[in-house]
Amino acid sequence: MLKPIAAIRRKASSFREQRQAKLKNNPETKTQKPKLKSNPETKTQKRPPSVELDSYFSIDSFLARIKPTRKQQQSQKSTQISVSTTSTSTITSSSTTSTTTTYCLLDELPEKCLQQIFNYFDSKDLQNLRLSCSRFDSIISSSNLIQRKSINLLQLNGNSRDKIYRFSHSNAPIYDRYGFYQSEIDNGLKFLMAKKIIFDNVFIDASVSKALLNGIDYCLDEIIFDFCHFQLSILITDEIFHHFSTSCCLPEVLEFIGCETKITIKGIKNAVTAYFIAYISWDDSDDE
Amino acid sequence: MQPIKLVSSDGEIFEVDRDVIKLSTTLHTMFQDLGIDEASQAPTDPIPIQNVNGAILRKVIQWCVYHRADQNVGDENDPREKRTDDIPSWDVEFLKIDQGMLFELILAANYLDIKGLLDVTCKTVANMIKGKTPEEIRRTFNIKNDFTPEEEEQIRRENAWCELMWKVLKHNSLK
Repeated sequence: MLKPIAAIRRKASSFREQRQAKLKNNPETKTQKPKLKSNPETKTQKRPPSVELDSYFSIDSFLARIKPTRKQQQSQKSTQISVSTTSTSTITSSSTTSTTTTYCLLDELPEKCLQQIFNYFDSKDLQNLRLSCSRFDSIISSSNLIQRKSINLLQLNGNSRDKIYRFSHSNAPIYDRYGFYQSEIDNGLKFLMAKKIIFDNVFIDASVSKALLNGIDYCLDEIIFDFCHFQLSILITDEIFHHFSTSCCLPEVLEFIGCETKITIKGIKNAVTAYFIAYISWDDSDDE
Repeated sequence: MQPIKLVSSDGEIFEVDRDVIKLSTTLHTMFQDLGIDEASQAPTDPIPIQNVNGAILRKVIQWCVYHRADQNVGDENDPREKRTDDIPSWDVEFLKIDQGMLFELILAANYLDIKGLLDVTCKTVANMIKGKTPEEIRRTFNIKNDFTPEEEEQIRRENAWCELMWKVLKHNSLK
């Protein structure tokens, strides 16, 4: 009995002999020997399959065989009804794949149920949810789910670039101070319940007044305008003064320190108006 | 005490004891309005539960049967109770179901006004969301991101404000 390696050698040699004999009989086949380096043009061409592929193993067939979900079944039904006379497997499968990408189970829940779910989240999770989709964002934004945090003192400092405000506790170190654009000031203030607000070297304009509108909910005890400039173009009306006199949210202290020296009664009224601005149409004032 | 027949949206009929039905405020109130109390004869015709199919109604009844003797220990005084790790172990096992059925259970619990079931199902969904990034939340529930880049940026800015407030408060509390 031959050893395995010897048997392989013998088989290989017999194969070579047979091949050489073949070449002798038909010399044209030698020229047809494929080159190792293929032409780059032909390289990109797809080689035709040597065997006819079974359509069962195609991607379309695979997608069609995936068990459809509940919603997909519904859409399949509707598609089949609409194309009942010319229904083909391709039409059905294309409709199912399009619904897979857009269907969201949470969409079925009414707002009340979503609010109950959102009640279990802290602010960080709510922030992430707001970024998930516009529906969640509108539900969270319109509710009181993000609770206001209570703070004793809020100080807003205008800097030399006059559109950026620095927010910090008065004794906070410099590294704990942050800059924000004036237009965003009301976004931040709505998360706070401050007892006292100090505006330091700030241009009091419509956006600041909007922020102070939220301040009504803070139950402010004290507002201090320190070296501020008032740039409000709102007219004081009787309605506002009526609101001013009947409101119980009037701060105990309203100070103006070192503000524009020519601060007038109108300026003070404007500052007060900024606090009780609920009935002013801001769109009109912005246009002016 | 005769059982009451309920019929699901797909025609499946269930016989349920009255003390089980009581967990559904919707059905309990309806019986009270119709003057059907425990002493009176149960209605012979099954009561249609039109918004709930048989599979879901079976699950709802299964939950109610298990919890029929539960005392009401609602958190009426603390609506902002945020704990979600206090789901009873039986309910945890009971709610090991696919997302579709879980959301249908929430809808059924909401429709039938079964507070306990609504609480545990909502807590289960909350647990699926907690600690996830926006992208992970979208992936989990197959949510489409329908924000424009500008809208997304605006929310990020607002969130930054919120973060800032917490930081400042934390800083103040450490002082």
